[in-house]
Amino acid sequence: MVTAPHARKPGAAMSRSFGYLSVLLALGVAGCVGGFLGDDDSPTDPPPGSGTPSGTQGGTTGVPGSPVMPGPGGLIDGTPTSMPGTTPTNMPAACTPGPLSPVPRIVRLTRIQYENSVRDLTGLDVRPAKDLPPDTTLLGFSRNLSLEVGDLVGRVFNEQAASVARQVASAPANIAKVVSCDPKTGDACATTFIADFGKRVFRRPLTDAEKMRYLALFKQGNTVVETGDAFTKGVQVTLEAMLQSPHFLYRFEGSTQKDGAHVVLGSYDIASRLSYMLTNSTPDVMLLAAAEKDELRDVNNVVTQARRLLETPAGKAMIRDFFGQWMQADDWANHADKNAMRYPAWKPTLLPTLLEELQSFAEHTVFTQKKGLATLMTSTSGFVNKATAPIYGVMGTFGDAVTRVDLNPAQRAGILTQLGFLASHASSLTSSPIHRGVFVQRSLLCTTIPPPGEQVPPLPPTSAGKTTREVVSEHTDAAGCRACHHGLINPVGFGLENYDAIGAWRTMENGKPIDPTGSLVGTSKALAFSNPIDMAKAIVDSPESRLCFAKQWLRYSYGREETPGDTCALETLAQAIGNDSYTPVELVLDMVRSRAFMFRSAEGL
Amino acid sequence: MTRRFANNRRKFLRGVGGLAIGLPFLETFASRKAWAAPPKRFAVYFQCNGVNKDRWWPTTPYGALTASSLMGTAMEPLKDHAAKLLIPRPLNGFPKGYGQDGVPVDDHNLGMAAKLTCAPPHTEADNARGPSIDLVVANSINPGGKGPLLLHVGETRGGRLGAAFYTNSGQPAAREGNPWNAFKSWVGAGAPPASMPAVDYAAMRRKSVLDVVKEDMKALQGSPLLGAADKQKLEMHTTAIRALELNATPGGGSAGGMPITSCTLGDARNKEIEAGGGDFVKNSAMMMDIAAIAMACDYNRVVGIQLSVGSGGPMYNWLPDGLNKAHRHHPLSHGATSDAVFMPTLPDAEWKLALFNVDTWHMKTLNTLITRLASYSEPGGSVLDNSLVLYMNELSAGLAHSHEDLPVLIAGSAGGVLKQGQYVNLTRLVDPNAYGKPCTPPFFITLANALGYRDASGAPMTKFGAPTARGRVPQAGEHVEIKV
Repeated sequence: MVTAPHARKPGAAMSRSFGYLSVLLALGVAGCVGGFLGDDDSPTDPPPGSGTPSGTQGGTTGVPGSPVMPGPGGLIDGTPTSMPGTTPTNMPAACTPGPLSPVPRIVRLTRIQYENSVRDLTGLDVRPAKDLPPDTTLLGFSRNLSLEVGDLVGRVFNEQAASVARQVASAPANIAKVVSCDPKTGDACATTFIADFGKRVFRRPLTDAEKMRYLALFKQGNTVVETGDAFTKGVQVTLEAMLQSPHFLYRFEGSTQKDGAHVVLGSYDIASRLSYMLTNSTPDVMLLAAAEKDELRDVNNVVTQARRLLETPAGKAMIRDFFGQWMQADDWANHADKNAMRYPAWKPTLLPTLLEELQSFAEHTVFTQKKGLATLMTSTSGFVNKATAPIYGVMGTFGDAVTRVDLNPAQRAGILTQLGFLASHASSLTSSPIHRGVFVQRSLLCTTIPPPGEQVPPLPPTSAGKTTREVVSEHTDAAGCRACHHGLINPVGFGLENYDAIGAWRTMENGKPIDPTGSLVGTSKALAFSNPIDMAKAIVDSPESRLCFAKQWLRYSYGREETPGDTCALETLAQAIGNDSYTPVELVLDMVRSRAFMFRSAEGL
Repeated sequence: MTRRFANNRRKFLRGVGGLAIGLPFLETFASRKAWAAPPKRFAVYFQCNGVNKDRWWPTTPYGALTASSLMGTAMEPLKDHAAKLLIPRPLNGFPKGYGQDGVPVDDHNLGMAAKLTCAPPHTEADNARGPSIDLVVANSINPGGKGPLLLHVGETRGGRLGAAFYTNSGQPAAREGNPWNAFKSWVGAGAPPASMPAVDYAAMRRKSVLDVVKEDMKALQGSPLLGAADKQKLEMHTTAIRALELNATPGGGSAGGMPITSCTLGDARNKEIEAGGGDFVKNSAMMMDIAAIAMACDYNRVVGIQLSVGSGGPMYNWLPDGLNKAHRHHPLSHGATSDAVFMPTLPDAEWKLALFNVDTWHMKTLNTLITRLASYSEPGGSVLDNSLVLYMNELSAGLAHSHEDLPVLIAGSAGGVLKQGQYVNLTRLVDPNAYGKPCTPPFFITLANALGYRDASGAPMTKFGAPTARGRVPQAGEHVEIKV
């Protein structure tokens, strides 16, 4: 059984400081930051047993002797005694799962989860999140277990609850979307509405105390709402409270059922976890029904539901959302100003098209082609419209919507060569090899880059007639910069020098030829490449990129940083990712099939 | 409560109708029932990237400040208030940056996450490790412990690079970026409705609804399973619900109650704000007005205004300088044309002039807030006299990502506690953990106590901030040299 090179021993691999030091040592860049390391700058050999995984050279061949994906029925990283009929079929032999780390009992919905939930619950085309500030991101992702409700967020929730409730009450057709009984039956229907709709909002049945509290409020509606019949007024005021109740705004996991080192979650807890992870919205009717029958403590039933949800538009939207966040699309607008003389084809208004390109490409690759990381990183499929086709040099007639085309295989390979990423990692005039290099290291290889070093004396302005590569090489050659820039950042950034500030292909700059050659530093193999196409292949072939892809999905899915308790799961996922037919859909299903998803830590109980 | 709200709100909305529009607003205060002792207020003006240090500080030596000390510097727009300014120097950020504290986080991130918190992140996944000074002060000096009013101008980002203000758990604090939203909800302006209902249904409904929400909250808070972080989240949320109730009444919670008919910017300005700002210049001006009125009328005693984000823009293309028309603030602060190049590629004289013009523009903007606060008279002088307005930014020298010798400026004396009209040489406090120069934690402690900060036991502040990853802890004590 092959072990991913990052996993020296369970636990240690996940330690940030350990990872950081190991990168520096492996690169021989000790002294990158003054005082951090000793004078020993000899490169460290890879630890025993961490050799190159066999059969992964092509990046699309899979790992001989091991299944494409963890076998059905088991958890990918361990089996508790109470889980009948489950066998950990794919856990790397050397890996002993560490204890799960505690996570909060209370987790606030993200901005998009809040909006989707309100829309799904009311069936109204509303945008209640429009005044919410952006979510605090964690390692680049908006699903963050630490999200809070301060004064401003609380006020928006308060105002929006009132506004949405008023809209529901404004038309009988809207009332019918939330009330399933006959309003003429009065109190009986009020009781039914509170129990049925309340269960959808709170994602669990209401307690008796809650039912009484909301019924009392329903009745107060007649005095505190100005217009409408008594029933409509009651619905309005009830909705206004439910849509800002902490039971709606937070997922609360109240299970205390211990099983060894774990807490087993209840079916309703699992339903909420699953629904928000896979669809960014509240559980649908089928999922709630499964929870009511208490079917979701069995991982097989959960996976069945998960597979169904991932095929819904909301499931596909989640996959698209991941790629947008991974590629930092929220930040693109901050880099959208380009020099109009130099780049007449560019307009900041292209950004929505560029995001659509990225996400259509991801959806096509994952759901139509049913492919994984290798195709995402090397495919020549493009999605262009009439404004972006000329930048790609694609001939033909195009409209406003993006259309799938085949891009020039000598110039384009997957997401790293798309305009959105390239243009947002560039200045208004030219490419930014540093930003591109930092992105590849941090986001594709999960390298920890230490902070910039001590202040260095400014260099004189450079003369004209140099390439960006030459300028950047010189500017980062000072003693305090060289180790990290030359050792980690620049080489991979230079690999993308064939793309200018808007992502268009170029072979010359300032009258000199572009030099896109280098090697994939920061990885155990450090493969040499001669152009960006080669570099993309080298990235896919590196075990670091596979482990990193798993980590990024874990961070996005679970809303937290990886911990030692995730090591075995990550190793298993990283190994599976080496097979190109292992799609992000399968990856997400495997994350559902893990201890971290099905259980909580028992710490504190 | 309900009736009072309805009455006040109606009176407020009709407000200016009965008075001459444009009547200088606090002139009326002296003749009305006012506070025996007006409350102290605190405003933080925070902008991003570094400054041109060559032309930031007064041109005269430490000592008395006059208008002429500021001529030719970025602070020239504040010259009329020279007698109300306090400029302490040198002051270092905590931590110092350059990776000297073992934080694997770059200095732009530190400049945002640690500047007002003195609680630096330890890892890439961290934000700050504690609250910013505005929140700590607000929780103490605002009635009901209400949080500060936080406003934002310009681009936004989700992570710590996007925020200078932090919550008690060190999460970036949300800021309101839409002037109209800030104004209508917190300050409560707007055109009066055609006819006011006899019964204020909105207020009654809000009360019924919030009563139920509070019961739900109580039930959740009663769970024995919650950890410390969970409890903190719900406590914060509870405070937010209380703020909704308090803010139902303009001036709600204030000691004496301000004469609310005066608390308006005037119909014309109201209409402009309602129409929405849009660009950076307009929004900045509106946020200054909103901050001023929120402080003067005791809607909130603490206001934070953040302009743009760390390592960010905008392109100051309205300034009379060629480079500002071509490059965003961040690369210019590095003397470069690209975000990626950290060395000057532009002639020194040119990029430093561009940066100086940006610095001057910020002082002009800050001046509108200070001038407005100074125009409101109340017992003890003006609202400015009873306040502290603090200017800070992300970095000192942008080129070097420096956190040392920060550009810092204070207007107002917190009711005569801090010195005025002085350029003060700060001295190092005696502390085994002190850096070579004075640093921010004791400075903030001095400001907080000047504002009347008291902890739950009634004691003044003795500690602020949280240790770095290397365990270095901020020093304690106060800078007596800036006190009267």
